[in-house]
Amino acid sequence: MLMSKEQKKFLFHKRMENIIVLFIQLSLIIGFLFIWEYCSQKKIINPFIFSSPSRIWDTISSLVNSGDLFLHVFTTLYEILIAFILGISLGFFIAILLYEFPLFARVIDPFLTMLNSLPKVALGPIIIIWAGANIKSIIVMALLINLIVSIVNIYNGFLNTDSNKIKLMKTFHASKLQILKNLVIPSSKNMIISSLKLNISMTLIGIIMGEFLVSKKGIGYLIIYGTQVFNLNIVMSGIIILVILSFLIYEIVHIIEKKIVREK
Amino acid sequence: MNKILDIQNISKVYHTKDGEIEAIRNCSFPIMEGEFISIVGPSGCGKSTLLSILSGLEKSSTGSFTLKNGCTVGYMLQTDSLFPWLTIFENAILGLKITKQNTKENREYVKELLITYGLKDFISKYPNELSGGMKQRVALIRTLALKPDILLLDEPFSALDYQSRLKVSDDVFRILKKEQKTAIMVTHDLAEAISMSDRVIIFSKRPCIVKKIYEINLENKSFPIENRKAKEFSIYYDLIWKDLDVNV
Repeated sequence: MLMSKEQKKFLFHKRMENIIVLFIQLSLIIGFLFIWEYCSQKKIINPFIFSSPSRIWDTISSLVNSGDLFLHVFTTLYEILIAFILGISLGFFIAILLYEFPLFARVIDPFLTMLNSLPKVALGPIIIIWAGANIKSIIVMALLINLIVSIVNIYNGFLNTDSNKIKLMKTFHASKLQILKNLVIPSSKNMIISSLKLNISMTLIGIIMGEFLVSKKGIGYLIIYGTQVFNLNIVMSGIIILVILSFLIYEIVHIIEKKIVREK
Repeated sequence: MNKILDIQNISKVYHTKDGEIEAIRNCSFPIMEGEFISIVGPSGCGKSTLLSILSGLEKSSTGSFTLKNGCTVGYMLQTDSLFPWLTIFENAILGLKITKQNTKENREYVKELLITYGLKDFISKYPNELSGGMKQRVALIRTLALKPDILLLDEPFSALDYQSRLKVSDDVFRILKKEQKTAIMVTHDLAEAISMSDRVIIFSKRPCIVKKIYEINLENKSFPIENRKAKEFSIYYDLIWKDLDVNV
């Protein structure tokens, strides 16, 4: 296709801008790692407390070689997946109940607000006693954190349904179920998808918190174990792995969202 | 002509926290088969409420209406309310789907309507690709799909700009005449009411009562845009304007 000179120039500038942003981002990371390593080597900071990139690299390598890394990552991913799916489906189900039974919604509204404002970690000890010192406690912890956010988001999506469209459905004498299936759910699709994104961040918080409280494997366990034996190399490695993992998960959800929204 | 719908002493009272609101008081009039009736009145009077009652969306407080045996009512709303995630065809058969009449025969009928009324190329398009006037035509076809004998039109053109409004009201009029439907239209626009209707019913301020009924007799009565040129047009306009008694 033919392009005017100005258009070419505009596109060139856009591309240059992208390259510059990426370059600065990479330099920031490399610079940070370099200064960290340097200060650690020269004992400007205490390497025992602050660790260093090379020590973290060695720790992660040995974790990979012993196969432990895979075990921890897999465990955490597995827990995230269960809590995420449970949170979304339960949230969806409860949002439908709230929407279909406004009286019920009014009754439980203050309780939802109470539960929402409560710092859920406070319930940790009780959860361990009730659900046992196992994976169940971790899932319950994550659910406590992600479920209410899902319910509130999806429910609000439902409430935002265009009242004219509801009136239209009523002129056809549509049943409640028909209105829900043909109008309310499809029109809240974007809202539901954006709640997936929020849900995944909440699930991550819940899972790591749960692993801090009770676990024998998982990334949260790795971090808490490192703290207990005062090996900061393990702690830092755990955090770095977690950063990469959560970034990847978030990107995956983001890509799925873009795909579904575009399909209309 | 036969009576197709008879409204008898309909009243409607709304209950709110701040008290009762009397929307309609003792409203009665008959509607003949094939007739086009417009209802005009000050905003906030019970015009739309009456349509809601006739369509079964709301119940009247007292009074009733009788439909001729086997006749059904269709309702066309102020907004097109097309579902953006459905194609034009899927939108047009929405009523059929909900009322479980989604047979092959009925779908063919809807397809024919879409083709007849200039939407052939848009059957598998989505609503955001259509102009306001076209969307309103789809909304009409969605209502016609259920083959109602009487159409209730609640300010069907108010969301359109002036030019499309003239054009679409002409289109809708032609469609309704061709399909031989009886129509009751609520509108704010006096010119629209006079140019389209056989009778114009004037409602008073709340509580709404039937203040006056005009038979519109134009020489060379034809289609709405043409009717606006009739010499009696402005006379009716003045009469109705005075009856409306607008205080700004």
